[in-house]
Amino acid sequence: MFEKLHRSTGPRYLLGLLFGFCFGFLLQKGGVTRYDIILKQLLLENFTVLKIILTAVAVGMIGVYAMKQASWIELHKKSGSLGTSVPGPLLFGIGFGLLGYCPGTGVGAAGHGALDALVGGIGGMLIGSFFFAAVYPKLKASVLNKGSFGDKTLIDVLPVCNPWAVIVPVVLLIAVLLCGMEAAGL
Amino acid sequence: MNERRTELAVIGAGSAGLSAFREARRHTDNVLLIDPGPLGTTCARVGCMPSKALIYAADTFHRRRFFDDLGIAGSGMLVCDPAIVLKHVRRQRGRFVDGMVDTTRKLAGDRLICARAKFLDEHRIQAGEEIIRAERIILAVGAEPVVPDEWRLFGNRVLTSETVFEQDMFPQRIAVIGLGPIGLELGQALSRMGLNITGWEWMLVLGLLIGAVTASLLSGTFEWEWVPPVWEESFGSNVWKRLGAALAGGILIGFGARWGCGCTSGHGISGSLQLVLASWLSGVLFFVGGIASAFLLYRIF
Repeated sequence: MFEKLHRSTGPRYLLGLLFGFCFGFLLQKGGVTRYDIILKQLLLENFTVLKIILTAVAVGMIGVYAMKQASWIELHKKSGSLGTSVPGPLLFGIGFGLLGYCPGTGVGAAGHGALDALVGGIGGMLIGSFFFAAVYPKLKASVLNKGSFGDKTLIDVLPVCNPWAVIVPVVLLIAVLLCGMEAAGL
Repeated sequence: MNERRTELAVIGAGSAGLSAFREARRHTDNVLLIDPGPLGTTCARVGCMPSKALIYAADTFHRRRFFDDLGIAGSGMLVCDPAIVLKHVRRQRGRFVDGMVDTTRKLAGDRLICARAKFLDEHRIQAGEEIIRAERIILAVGAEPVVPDEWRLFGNRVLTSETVFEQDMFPQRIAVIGLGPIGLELGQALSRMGLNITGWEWMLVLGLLIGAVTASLLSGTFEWEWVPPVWEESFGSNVWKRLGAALAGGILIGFGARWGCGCTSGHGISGSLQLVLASWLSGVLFFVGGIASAFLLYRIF
């Protein structure tokens, strides 16, 4: 049902814009487009960022898998390998600590006038992507496919047939974590 | 080095080499088959067989255009995902190749030498450690695509029949150079799959910016700012210092996000909520790296 929409040109642009608008609006309202909030998360003093991510993951997981079960959508999974999913994210993380925004929150921060995000952050990301494109052939030939584990999900690797046997416990675990963080006043 | 003598050496274990070997075996047992691998024949690995599997999918999708004439309604709802088609092609190809490798090994047994053959003189061939003296030699070496030097400038944008089926996804537009059977089949299949994958993600980014500006203006928090307060407390109000760190961070993020195929939104939220393993691993490592660099920056320096 939504797969057709996903591939149609016109409405897809409009929906992209609409969902982007909501995402940006809510990131801004949630406060996670602030350098101070993100840095305090990385210094483990303020857990707003983690709380927002975990809430989004729990709500989204239920919604996405319910829509998948109703055959409205297909999953859009990314494949990984040790050669991509370890060094890439670690470098990203180091940059995350230096910049204090990730790509989404960086654009969101530009939305309240953060010029360090707009000029340094987004400019740097474009330069970084350019560098990556330059070394891509070499990385592809050497490390990218090392230790590939494909686009497996947690449901594929656990001995269960029903996806909800994984989703329900994961969502409950997230709920416990969230309550724990609230109770600890983080 | 010992010489191994044989009546006939067949160089190349592709479709032609296998036929020749099979035919020769009806007359003599004294035949050797030499191939450096990968076994499985060009046809099954990277030639007509995967190409047929691709065109089968594309044609099946194409047939929807005539459904209305046949009284089958609703064809406008059908979509074709090239990424899934490619997976299907590789799965089919895997079966063809396994079959061919099996056939090759059963047919040739210990008369198969897996090494690249090199002529020493008109009757002697070096194949790996062995030197083979053959009365007759059949060349069935096949062919492989050549990318001219000046085309190498395009790097990995140039696909050949050896790599095209290994792609996870096709780009939006592809030029097919060479109108042999494989080129024609590929071109037709690509066109029939109706490749039109456009960059809607940019609209998401634009929307994000507009949404953030709107929220900020509505709450009255919009303000141009070069140096965030927490940074200023520790490192002062020097704009260039902050910009330098932001630029360096941005470069690492851009590089790392491309390397790891996603960021805190793509992996951290969108991927994790689909329970994808690569995304959970990435999500955790984003924070491992981030916490490490923030602690180094604020607690050590």
